[in-house]
Amino acid sequence: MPRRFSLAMLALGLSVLLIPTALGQSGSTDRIRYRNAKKDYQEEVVLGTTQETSAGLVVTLNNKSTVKIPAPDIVSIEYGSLPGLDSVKLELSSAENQGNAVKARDLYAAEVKKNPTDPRTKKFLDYREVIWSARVVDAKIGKEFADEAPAVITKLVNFSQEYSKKNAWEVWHASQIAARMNAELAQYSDAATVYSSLSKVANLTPELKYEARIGEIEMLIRSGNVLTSAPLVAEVSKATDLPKSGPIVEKLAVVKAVVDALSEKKAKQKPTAQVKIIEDVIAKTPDPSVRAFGHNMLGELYLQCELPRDAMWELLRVEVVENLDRDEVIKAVWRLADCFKLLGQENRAEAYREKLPTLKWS
Amino acid sequence: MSRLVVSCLLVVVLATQSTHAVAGAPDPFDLVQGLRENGMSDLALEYLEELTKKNPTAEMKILIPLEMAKTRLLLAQEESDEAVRDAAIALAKQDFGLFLLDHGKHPRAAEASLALARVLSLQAKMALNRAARIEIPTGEDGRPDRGKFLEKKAAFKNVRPLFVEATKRFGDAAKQMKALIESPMTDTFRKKSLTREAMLAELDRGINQFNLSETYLAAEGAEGAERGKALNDAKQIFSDLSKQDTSNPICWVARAWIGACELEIGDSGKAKEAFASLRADIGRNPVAAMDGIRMVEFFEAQNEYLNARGGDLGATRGARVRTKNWLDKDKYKSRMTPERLSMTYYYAYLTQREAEMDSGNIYEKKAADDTTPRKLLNVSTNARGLLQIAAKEYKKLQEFDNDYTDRANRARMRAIRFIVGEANRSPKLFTNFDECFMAAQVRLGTLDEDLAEIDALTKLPAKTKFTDLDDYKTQTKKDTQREVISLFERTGDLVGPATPPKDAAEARLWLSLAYLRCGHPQQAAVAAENLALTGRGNTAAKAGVVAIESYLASRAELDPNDAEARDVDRTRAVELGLKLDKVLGNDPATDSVRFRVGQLFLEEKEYRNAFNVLEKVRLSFGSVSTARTLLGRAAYMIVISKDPAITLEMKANYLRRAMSAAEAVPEPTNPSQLKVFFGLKNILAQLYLLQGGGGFVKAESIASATAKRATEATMPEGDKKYVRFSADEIRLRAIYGQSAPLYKDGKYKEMADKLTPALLIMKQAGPAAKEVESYRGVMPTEAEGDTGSAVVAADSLDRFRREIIVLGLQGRIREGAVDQAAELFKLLEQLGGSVEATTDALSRLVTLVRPQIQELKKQMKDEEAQKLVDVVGKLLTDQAGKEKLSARARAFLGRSLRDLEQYEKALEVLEKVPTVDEETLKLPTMQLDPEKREAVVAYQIALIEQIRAHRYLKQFDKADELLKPAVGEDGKSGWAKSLEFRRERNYVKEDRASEAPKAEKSKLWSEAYAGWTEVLRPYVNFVSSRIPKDADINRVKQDREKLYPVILDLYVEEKRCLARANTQLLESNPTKLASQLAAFGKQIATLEKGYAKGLTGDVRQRFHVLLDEYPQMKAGYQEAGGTAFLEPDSELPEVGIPGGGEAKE
Repeated sequence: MPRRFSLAMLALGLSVLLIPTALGQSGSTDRIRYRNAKKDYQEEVVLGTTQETSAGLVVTLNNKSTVKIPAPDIVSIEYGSLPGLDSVKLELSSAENQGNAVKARDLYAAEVKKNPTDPRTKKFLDYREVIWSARVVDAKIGKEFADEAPAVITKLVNFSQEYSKKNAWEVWHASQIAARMNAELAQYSDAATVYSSLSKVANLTPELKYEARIGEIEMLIRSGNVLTSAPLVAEVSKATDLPKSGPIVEKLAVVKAVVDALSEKKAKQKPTAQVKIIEDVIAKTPDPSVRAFGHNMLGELYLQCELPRDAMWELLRVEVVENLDRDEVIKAVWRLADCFKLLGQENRAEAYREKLPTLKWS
Repeated sequence: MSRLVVSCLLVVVLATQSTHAVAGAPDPFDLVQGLRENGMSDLALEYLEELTKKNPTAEMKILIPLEMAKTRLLLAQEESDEAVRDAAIALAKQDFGLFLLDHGKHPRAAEASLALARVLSLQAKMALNRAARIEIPTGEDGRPDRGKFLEKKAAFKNVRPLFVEATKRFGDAAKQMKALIESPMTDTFRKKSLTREAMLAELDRGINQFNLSETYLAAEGAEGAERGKALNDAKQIFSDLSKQDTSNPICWVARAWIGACELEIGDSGKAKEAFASLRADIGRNPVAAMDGIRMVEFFEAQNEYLNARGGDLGATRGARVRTKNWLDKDKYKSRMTPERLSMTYYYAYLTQREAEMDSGNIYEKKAADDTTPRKLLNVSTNARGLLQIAAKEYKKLQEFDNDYTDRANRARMRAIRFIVGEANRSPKLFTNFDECFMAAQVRLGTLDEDLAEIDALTKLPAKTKFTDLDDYKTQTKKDTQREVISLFERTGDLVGPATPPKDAAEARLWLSLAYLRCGHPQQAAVAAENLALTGRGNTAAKAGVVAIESYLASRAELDPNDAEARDVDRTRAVELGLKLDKVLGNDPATDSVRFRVGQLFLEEKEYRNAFNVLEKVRLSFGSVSTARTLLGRAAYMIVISKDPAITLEMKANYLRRAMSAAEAVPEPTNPSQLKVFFGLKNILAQLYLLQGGGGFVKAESIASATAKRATEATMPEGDKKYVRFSADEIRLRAIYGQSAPLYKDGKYKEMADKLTPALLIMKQAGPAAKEVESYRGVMPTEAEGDTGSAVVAADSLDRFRREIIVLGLQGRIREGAVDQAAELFKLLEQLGGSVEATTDALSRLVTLVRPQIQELKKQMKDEEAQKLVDVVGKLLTDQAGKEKLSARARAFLGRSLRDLEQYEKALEVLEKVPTVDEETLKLPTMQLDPEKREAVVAYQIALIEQIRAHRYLKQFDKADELLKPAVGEDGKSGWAKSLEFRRERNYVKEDRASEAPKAEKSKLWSEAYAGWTEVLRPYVNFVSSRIPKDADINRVKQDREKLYPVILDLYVEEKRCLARANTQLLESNPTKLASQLAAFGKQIATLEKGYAKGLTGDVRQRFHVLLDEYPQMKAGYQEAGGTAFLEPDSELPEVGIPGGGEAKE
């Protein structure tokens, strides 16, 4: 399940363009765009009626067959019907299409305040409001971002909590954004908590549950908290429903190696044995997202071992080579800003800080 | 202005996409490519450098140079200094060429071919830009200067073959790629990437073909048709490419270019159709079409800009908004693409135009019938805002060299002038950093004009306290310079928290430049040094260059005798340079620092220091050829140095390093740099000459290639000849170096075979001097180049050609091939240019042949020796028999005959030298006019040679008779001042004593000995006299020490005379003779200690020969602790290439 934020970003970016069209459609057939994992994550479209769960969608096609789409792979949904939204469709369309995030956020907020009675419409509006709120803040950098992000994180977390037991696939995306924003503010423990909560959302598939747990471990690693992350790695490793192979297992091997390395780290020394383990995972995996994750974690490891130049090469690889997973690219870019600062290249560090907003919602 | 300035090479990355998505260990070159594609070529290069240090695999070792070349090529395109960029591009080109040469069958060879095509295309574009810079002034009749126009047109035409070649290369590379794609050995993933590369190659080919049309300046008739064909060909390439794969962005871009071709052809209707059709098809693949749309919008905006240039305010504003919109949409592109570059210029230009058209501006008032343009006196607030935007945009274009840099420079300066208004106002009135900085730059930019204006004043202004015009001018100039400096100082005061540190540092750099320009080098040096040591990056390195220049300028102003003060500035400059070398070693500007410091060391003859610092100058340095030439010179001087601290191994090491450094420099494309480059090649060939052995072959090959390239190159004729003659001389020296050992080994036939081709070429070419006849005594025009150096090189070449003929003559004579020798003599005459020159060559022949004759005689090969004497003697007498032979030539021929022991013949020739009256002979030669001086010199040579001939013929009375008027008699002094005559008199005395009957020997030997003591006495008295109290002791000592070698040389004669005399006089008493000789040996040991500072190589050698001749004398010498004369002098050069130690450049 490699695409997490990355597809969320695309979904959020593209779906807004499509909603107005959907609003104009009659009947209850939904139109879903998603990335097909079986076809190298090519984008596809299906039409049918959707059953929504926290793990994703089950789409029943006209021929009665079904397609399961995991939450991270959803790009957009055009609902066949969302009662009560017809009156605002033009304004929303205009704001979203122009990328006017503030206007879109305010329009959705106004709709939310009207307390729509239809649960699907309410969820849709709640989600869009928090997403556009996040988008407004994500366009900012530095102090402005630091000042405004906490309020948005609260909104995203509240949304996730409210819908955690309501079979909302959007929880996955909202939590990912909340975690990422926390991490950007260097609030890694809070980010880990978001992932922890996400892993406990009802009806998640084991893949998604452990994806969230690995996210939690990753954030604990980034916080430098080896004491907590080590037992967590052990706990996840022993889980009975853990997939036997695939990206989860590979990522687990990566975080385990990092935790091991950090528990005995020596300043300015490469933990060669653990680095070799991670490099082997990168070499063997067919999944580009795992490779990006591996390089990112190597970068983090080197940074914590006070080897910023080695870290720089790993992070740059994520940015310019293994860059299919936009989520991993974003993480690499914010750490590169730190990296260049440590290397005394302030101009480049600044350029990387400025680059972040352009990446987040592209 | 060129309609389209999109350089093909920058269109490398069209769509950001993941580089690889396959399992396997990470490929380091993926990261390199990714970094390049994302505008981080500097990091890519750093990464490659790190890779080279991490024990790379054999495959990586092959690929790292290719990757480095690709990276350097991109970096070169971002380089602001044209010379640096040219050098870097040429280097990349060389690296691609080398890769193809070494690994032509490597799977990535096609990629190297493509890169090479891109380099060629880039060089073509750069050459076109250079040609475009030729300005066509307007003549008095208001029309463009026709001559200049034709020159520009010709320059454009010269560039055409480069584009044609590049187009061909692109096509070849695309074919190579297609072959690889079709190969069953290529895996699917590689096929994918190759397909993309092949498409890019086609796109680049099309763009290159499009750019070819730009080389037709004001094309009409047949040329117009050619231009049209070039555009139609380009259109066809784009059309074919556009149909290949609609899911690929490259094909969409190609579609957009079809419209651009139509616009260029002049069919805007078809262009609109092409653009509309592309837009209509977006739905087929919106993502892939994005790049195509971007280009369509670019071409449309460009077209609007072109139409608006002559349009009204509305059209200008509309076009400005459109260009701005395009830039806004494009701002997230990580690289400064050529399209953005063009659009930035268009936007800046239109913004400036709109500002200048603003109705709120105030213009100069003029009479209604005055049609000259009105000056803009003040700009409105709105216009000011627009001008500030324009200036900012122009600045972006100034930050690196590109098609627009020159125009942007000029336009920005104009914009700044309007913004700052009257730049002459008081610095205090400026309250804004940017404006003050701009005003200061404007004032510095016009300083020379302002000073010239003051200089041109012919009378004092009405209101002034000055009464003298010159005083007024001096003071006004000072005031003007002070004002400029004050503006920069004020700029520094206006630096605030909001000022970007880079701008603040730049202002400091400009201040130091202003100090330097305004004649305050010391302040400039201090300010620049401070910035260099406290600043960062490129600005600090540039400040270092300014500081060093300033210190040296400051030193030049000091009293030449104030060594201490001069040394302070010199030391500061050197210390700063060496510090920057360490601290800012990677900055491009640091190479300038190294270059300057190296130059200084070289001037000071500190060759090793010079070498060490110059060796660090990188290939990317703009004047790398000059730097490597200096490096070669330093190596040359180190190698020929006699410093015992430099071992042979060290010398070999220096030589090797200098040679490989010189070899690494690629040929520049800029014709103005070719002369220096070929000079470097000549230095390289000379280093190989110095190496000897196999080095001669290499030197010959390099010099031959250089001469050939210089003949083909586009260079001023004077430069071309200079390079060709110098290279040709080195080639001949190399041939000489290979032939001389053959002669030594008696392989005359082989030597003749080696020399014959060179001699034939010489025969066909004729004297080089003839080719430069028109240059002599005439000041060259700029177009002619360095004709002075060409003349010097031609004369030098002709001289060496004669040496080669002399060597050939020697061989033929020894071979017994008299006819061939005669033929060579004819060639000597043909190339000699004058009888004198041939005579000189014959004298040299005798000098070379004489030791051989003696050697043959020693070996009892009298017949062979005689044959040699006869042949050479005949050449000499034949020459002497010529009419119109000058006195000097006759004297030299006589001397040569005497050298050959042909005394009678010698006397015959020498006696024909006209005599000179005694009064003239007594006058110092410097007081004589050249003609008389020539006559005196010839007569003196002839006279002394006659005396010698008589002496050898034992005709002592005749010799004495000739000597008397020269050296005087009976206490009266003669006219001869030279020591030579006094020496000769003593030789005559010695020989007379030697030949005298036994009874007279003692008396005559005493006279001979007395003759030597008489010659020695004044010298010994001079060096042993008491030093006056008020004299400068050191100076006196130095003067005296200068005479030590002369005294020692005379002591050699004195001891030899004594030894010779005693050997005859004590013939019957060997014991006494031995004791006497030993005593002389001890005296020599004493002389060695007493005159230690006079032990030159010559002196050592002469004493060594003497001691070797008299073993008892040697024993006494050794007993007394003498050491210096035991071994032959090692410093004496072996007979090698004549003048081989002379560095030529």
